Amino acid sequence: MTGETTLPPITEDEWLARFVLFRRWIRSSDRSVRPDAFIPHPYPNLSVTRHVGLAEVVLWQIGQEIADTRPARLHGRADFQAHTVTKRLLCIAPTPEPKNHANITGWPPDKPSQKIIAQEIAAEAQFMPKPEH
Amino acid sequence: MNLTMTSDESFPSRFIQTGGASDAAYFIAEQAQKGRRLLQSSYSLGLEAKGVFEDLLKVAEECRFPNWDGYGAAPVMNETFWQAYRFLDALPFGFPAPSVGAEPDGHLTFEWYRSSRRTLSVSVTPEGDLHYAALLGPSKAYGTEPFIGDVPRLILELIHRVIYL
Repeated sequence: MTGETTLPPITEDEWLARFVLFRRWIRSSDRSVRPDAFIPHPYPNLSVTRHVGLAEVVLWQIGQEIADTRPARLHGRADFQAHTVTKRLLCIAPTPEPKNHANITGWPPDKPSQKIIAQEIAAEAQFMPKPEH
Repeated sequence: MNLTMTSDESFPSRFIQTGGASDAAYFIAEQAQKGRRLLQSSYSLGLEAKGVFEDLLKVAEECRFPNWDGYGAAPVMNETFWQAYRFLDALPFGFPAPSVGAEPDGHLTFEWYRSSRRTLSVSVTPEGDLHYAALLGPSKAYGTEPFIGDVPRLILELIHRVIYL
């Protein structure tokens, strides 16, 4: 997959997606996403996909491609805006590829601090289930 | 890793803690443990009847291989399962049941969730550390407590604040 190199700089209101490949990260009670989905591991960064410039169908295609390479089942995605992470003093670093990919960087090294940030992101994230078709 | 467990399995004796080293102390501790197991299976009081122990086993089984999340997650280790089991078993009777999950670093999690801004997550590590984080409306709390057989008072207070206040 060729990376997009002409994307605009990330803005505070830009939407990001974290694809959910493990069903137990979705709460059965209200279909929201658990903070477990936002813990950075095994890398010190959290992998996300930028919505900018992508049609909805293309965004889902990227998620499916990620799932297929694992392989894993794509259950949906957690959408949140860039300011959700930047106001917690994290940074968003776009990467040349894959397409529209970015890393959320600057996580504190200790687990409790990671957990509280993950909880705050989860509290503001919206879960979008994978379309049935 | 073999995580077979049934609802009527007696608690492994190696986890029974006593205040003394004598046979009598061990016997009393064992009887107390059996009493706890009976109460845990009670419909109104116990987590066992609510299926939490079964959920814990299912999550541990699902996450026993590397990359179970599709992003390179670490497997849940046998030691982590048993620490989590002991933590669940040590919760006071009548406390609300948590939901069970796992994190990419292989820690098992228990979550008490009332709303997105009123929630507590506790991660159990194979070493017996409890990493917790709670959103309590506009305030928050997070840190680490050791688990040495009893659920730390701080975590019990957080459960109470999340669910009842």
